[in-house]
Amino acid sequence: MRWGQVVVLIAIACGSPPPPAPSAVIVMSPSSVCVGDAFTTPIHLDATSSAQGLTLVYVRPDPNAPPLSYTWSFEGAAMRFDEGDAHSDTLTVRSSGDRPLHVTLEVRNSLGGVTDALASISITPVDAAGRCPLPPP
Amino acid sequence: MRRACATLVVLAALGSSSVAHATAGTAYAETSDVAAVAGAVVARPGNAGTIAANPAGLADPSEAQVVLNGHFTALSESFARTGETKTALGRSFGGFGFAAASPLPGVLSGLHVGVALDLPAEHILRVYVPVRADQPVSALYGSRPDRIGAMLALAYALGPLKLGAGLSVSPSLETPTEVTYVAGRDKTVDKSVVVRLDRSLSLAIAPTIGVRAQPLRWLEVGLVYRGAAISHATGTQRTVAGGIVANDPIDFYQFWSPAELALGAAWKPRRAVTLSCDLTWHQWSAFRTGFDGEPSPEFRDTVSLRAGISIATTRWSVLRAGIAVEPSPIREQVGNSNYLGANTNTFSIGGGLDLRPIVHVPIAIDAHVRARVSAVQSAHKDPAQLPDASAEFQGKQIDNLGYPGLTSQASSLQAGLTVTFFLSKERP
Repeated sequence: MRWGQVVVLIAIACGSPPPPAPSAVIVMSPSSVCVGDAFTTPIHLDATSSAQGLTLVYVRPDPNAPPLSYTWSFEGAAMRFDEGDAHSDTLTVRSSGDRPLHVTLEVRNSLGGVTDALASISITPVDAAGRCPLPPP
Repeated sequence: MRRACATLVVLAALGSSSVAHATAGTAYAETSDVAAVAGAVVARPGNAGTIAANPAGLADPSEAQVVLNGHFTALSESFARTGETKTALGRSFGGFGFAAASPLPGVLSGLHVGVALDLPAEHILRVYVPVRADQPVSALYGSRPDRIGAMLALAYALGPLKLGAGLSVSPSLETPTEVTYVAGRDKTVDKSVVVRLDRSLSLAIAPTIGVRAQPLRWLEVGLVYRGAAISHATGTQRTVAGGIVANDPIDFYQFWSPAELALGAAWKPRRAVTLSCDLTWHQWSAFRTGFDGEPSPEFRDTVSLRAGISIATTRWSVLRAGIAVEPSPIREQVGNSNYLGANTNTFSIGGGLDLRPIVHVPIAIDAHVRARVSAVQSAHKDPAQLPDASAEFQGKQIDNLGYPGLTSQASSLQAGLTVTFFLSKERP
């Protein structure tokens, strides 16, 4: 057996596959606020559709499964927490509305697997009459 | 006979090499003697390590040689939306290279053959396709080293002209995938889904053609055309659920480097000093996105300038330095895309030792350090050129990841080492 093959075998023996990754799902409402919203509109963010494993179809949450941990982070527009915090499964935030608010959700399962999801709360310019064309929340 | 044996040794080395090591055109993977003069080698006498720069240089070495090289590169890159803090996108990576060149023996004498292989330390092939088309990505730095590359070339000296041609190879990935939903296969819904994945690597080939000549005792010139290096990740995804059948094509595209036409000149003002300069046209306008579409706005073609100096300080040592100016092909990112990159200057230094005159060992060692420093890129988004993020609502929704504007800057620092083995007893 060549030394190279020995090294490969040792590497395989010592290595371990990464932990199964969870699914990270962000459900948000509304998905857009008008320019100049100035922290007026409450934006509800929900991570509870996330799942322990990566799936191609929606899986109803298993009440007996160990809980997932969530970490929310925000870029773009200035934001405030209205309800919940950066580790809640559901929370409500408000945005300054001068630019999009980019929301990243990191979901970690009990096996150590981690998955990120990215969603953006868009901004909608007001119409020619200065009105917000979005339906009221 | 000696030449034939040396050729066999080179070919045997190629055949038995289970871990390949050198320089076939992959970004950042040049040998130290090339990198130290900022890549201005199109007109300089060639060696096994300059096959990708100009295959005509293969006709220069009169003896077989094998080149091993390695590099480590630290890339620093940052991105920030206007008025926000910077996000670091940098990383470090390394690579190895193997190259060999030899005159052919017997009736084929006059022909020279060369091969080169670049092997990134981390990836054989990494096709990066962001989930969102507006993801800030580096088109010039980030992923360009992430592929294995190989090149085979031939050269021939036709009187005062040296002619060379080669084929460079980039891997592509074929990924036919079948997803089938088998109701009742398992109690849980997700385990009733069967996914069959097939993967196979194919090769995309690009030509390189070069010529080199020495019209005057103190002047050498060279001209080379290099084809674009592109990889695909293609296939189909067939989804079957009961009577529903859906076929989705998979067509990811990785544009590694554009087609290039380079004109070089090398001037020897003194016996120990060589100055060289390359003017290269880069066809960046052919750039395609990861989804095989045209970027908006399109990239523009560029012309880069490279210059290098080498000074033979003794019979066995040489010092090198180089500078390059590379304009950015990326227009102001006013629309949906957020490609990062700006005009870049390269500064490099290096040196080499030829051990043959000193200790009579047929080995030469070269080293280099190279820094690339880019200008600050800035862009201001034009809302009129941004797509509507949602057709669900009235008005135009803007969610672009670069809105309202962006800045970016990148720099890299590289150190590399090259060892050349001469496989004959010929003196330098």
